[in-house]
This record gives sequence, structure tokens and C-alpha cells, in this order.
Amino acid sequence: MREFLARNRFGVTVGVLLVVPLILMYQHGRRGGGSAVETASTGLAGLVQAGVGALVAGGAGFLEDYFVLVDVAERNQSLAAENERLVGEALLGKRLAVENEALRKLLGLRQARKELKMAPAGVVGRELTPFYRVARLSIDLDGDAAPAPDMAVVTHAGLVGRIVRTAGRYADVMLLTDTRSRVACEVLGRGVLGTLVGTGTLDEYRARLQVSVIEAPLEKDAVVVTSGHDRVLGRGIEAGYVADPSKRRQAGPFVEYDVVLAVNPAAIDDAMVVLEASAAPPPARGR
Amino acid sequence: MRYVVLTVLVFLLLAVQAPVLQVLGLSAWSLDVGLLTVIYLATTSPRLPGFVTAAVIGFVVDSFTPGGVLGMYTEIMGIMYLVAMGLAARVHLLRPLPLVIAAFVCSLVSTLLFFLFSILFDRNFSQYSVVILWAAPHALVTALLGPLLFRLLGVVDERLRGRRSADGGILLR
Repeated sequence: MREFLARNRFGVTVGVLLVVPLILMYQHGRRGGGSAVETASTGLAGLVQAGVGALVAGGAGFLEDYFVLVDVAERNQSLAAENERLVGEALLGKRLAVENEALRKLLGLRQARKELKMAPAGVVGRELTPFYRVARLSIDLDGDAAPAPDMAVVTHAGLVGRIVRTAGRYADVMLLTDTRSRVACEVLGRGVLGTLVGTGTLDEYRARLQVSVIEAPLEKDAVVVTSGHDRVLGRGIEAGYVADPSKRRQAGPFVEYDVVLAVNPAAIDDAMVVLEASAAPPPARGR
Repeated sequence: MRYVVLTVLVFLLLAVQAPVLQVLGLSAWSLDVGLLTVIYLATTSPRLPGFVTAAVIGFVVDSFTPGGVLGMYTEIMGIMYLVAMGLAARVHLLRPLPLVIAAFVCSLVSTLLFFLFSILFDRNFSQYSVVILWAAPHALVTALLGPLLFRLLGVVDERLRGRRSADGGILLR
């Protein structure tokens, strides 16, 4: 027997190792699995596979994050550059829109006041007070028109001031707030004549309207326009509004009202210079 | 020692294969590591230890088949060892082309055996169409990657035995 086994070692081994699995499979088929050997072997394999799986998933997650971050960094740079460009374009667009709006209004002014011969001008300089209020403007006339002293400078909102000094096509503009400023005015719709005098205050855009003491008190927000009696500025250009009539005061033979100016000199970039004002009265305007 | 190392290597490859393929989204395209190792053993080992190692490798594959019938792959790998041994006696399986063809045929035979044993012994077996449909793609992947795995096993053999696997093989028997 031993000799037979020794001689047929391979055949016997093959026979045994092929029959044993058949028996195992048969047992499995009858009992439906769940033997101790099966539980132990699949448990060990499952444990190892779970560990390897965790390692692989961790490595894959790291690699995935790495690649994602590389993409994100590149995309971030691209978006930052695009954002910078778009912000620049947005600012430019906003500036152009504001400029366009101002120019449209100036164009509207030119068409509304056809009795005035006007030339466009750009603001090229602003002199500031210690309280960051504009005290004086410098303008540059466009085209062939030449500026001259006492020409009125206006915007769609109203009177800015008058030219006091010129140099070629450049001119200095004295604002209505200047203490030297005197403008013949009237209260629109009331027939009350007077003079708008600059207060010279450094921290606000205000002037005083001097009217006769015999005039009836003015109401709040009454519109003050140029009367043209000084023969310097045309008639009917809006200058400002009566601020608070209760604070009027008597100064000699006059009563003085505080007037809020119609134009904020800090907000204008373009204006019109009145080259010549006709004698014809302007159309009646309400506020 | 060599057979233990090869068995452990198969164990590790089986443990790594499923998670890696899952991460790559290629779960269906697994390689039959056990079968290829058995063919390698049939080509390069004396028949008795080779056969015993093939059976053990089959048992390892059984362990990585939860829900399967214990002993099925032990049986299949044993039979495939005998088939591969017969092929190796006629064809030089360490060359790529014969190996690819032999691996393809062995994989198909292995699937057929799996199908047969499942019908005979597994009362819960119902995935007939899946097994048949994936038999050819699975065999193709196994066959095409066979030379690579043979190269890996050859390197391990060189380290263990200090000589090339081609120097031994079936002529040792």
C-alpha cells in the first residue's frame, strides 16, 4: 500500500485534492454554506480586502484632491484675471454712463435755451477749501470759441458762476459762493428783484439773496433765477432756492435770505459757457 | 518557500485588485490572477508541488468570493492546473502569444466549469446570463494581461531562486 502510494503520489494527491472540494461543494449545496472553514477564510480575506480598500480609497482620495486642487488653482488664476478685466470694464462703463448722462443733459440745456449762444467746456481744475468744498473752477473751452471775462458758466442744473480770468481757451470761473460774486436775480413767478451775493463760507455752497425790505416774505424753496439786469448774465438761468425764510435777516435797507445753490460745483465735469445772451425772455420755468 | 510566496502574492493581488478597479470604475474588468498563476505554476514547477499550490490558490480565490460555494475554485484551479500542464507539455507558454491564447482558452474553460459547478451545487445561482455574457471579455482581459503577470511572477521567481524562470519550467519534472 505504502509502495503504491509512493509510486502514485501525484495521482493520489490529485485524486484527493479534486475529491475534497467536490465534497465541500456538495456539503455547501445541502446546507447552504456557513461552515466554520468558509466563515474563517472569507472573514480573513474580507478583513484584508477592507484594509487594502481603505488604503486605496485614501490614496485615490488624496490624488483626486490633488488633481482637483491643481485645476482649482489654475481656474482661480483665470477667474481672478477675468474678474480684474471685468471690474475694469464695469468701472469704465459706469464712468462712460455718467459722462454720457451729463453730456445728454448739457445737450438738453442747449436745446431748451436756444436764446443763449453757448459753447461746451470741460472742467480741468478745482481749487478746494480746507473743508473740501470747491472754491474755484478752471475750464477748457472746446472748439473755436474764446472765453472772455463775465461770461456765465452754466449746466443743465443752473448757474455755476462767471469767468473772471482767461488764458487762451482756458478760463478761471468765480463761483456764486465767492464773496466777490454779485448776480442780479429775481424770484421766479414773484417779480421780486434782488442781488445774489456770495457768502464766502468755506464749508457749504450757499449765497445770500438781498431783496428790498418792502417785499413780502418769500416762501421756502422759491426759485431764484438770473434777472439779466446786470447786463452780464442772461435772464432766467436758475441760480438756487430759498433755504429757510424764517432765518431771513435785515441788513441795512435789504432783507437777506439764505439760498442753496442749484449747482454743486464738485459734481460737474462738463459745463456750457454762455457766449452771448439774447434779449428775448426765457420760457417760464417751474421747479 | 517559493510556493508560499507565490500564494501570498496571489492573496495580495486579489486583495488589491478589487478596490483598485472599483476606484478606477473598472470593477467588471477584473483579471483572473488565480488562473494565470496556476498556468505559470503548471509551466514552471514540478507537478506535485505545483498542483498542491494550485489547489491552495484555488482556496484563496474561494476566500475572496463571499457568498460563493466553498471549494469551487479549489476544484476549478486543480482541473485548470492539469489542463495547463497538458498545454505546457506541447506549447512554450512562457512566450507571449502562446500564453495569450492559452490563457484565453483556459479562462473560457474555467468559466464553463464555474457555470457547471454553480448549476450542480449552488441552489441560489441565478446569474446565468451575466456569467455567459462576461465570459469572453473577462477571458480577453485575462489573456491580454497574462504576459504582464507572468513577468511579475518571473521577477519574484528570479529573486527567490536566483535564476530565470525560463531556465526551469516543465523540463524540471
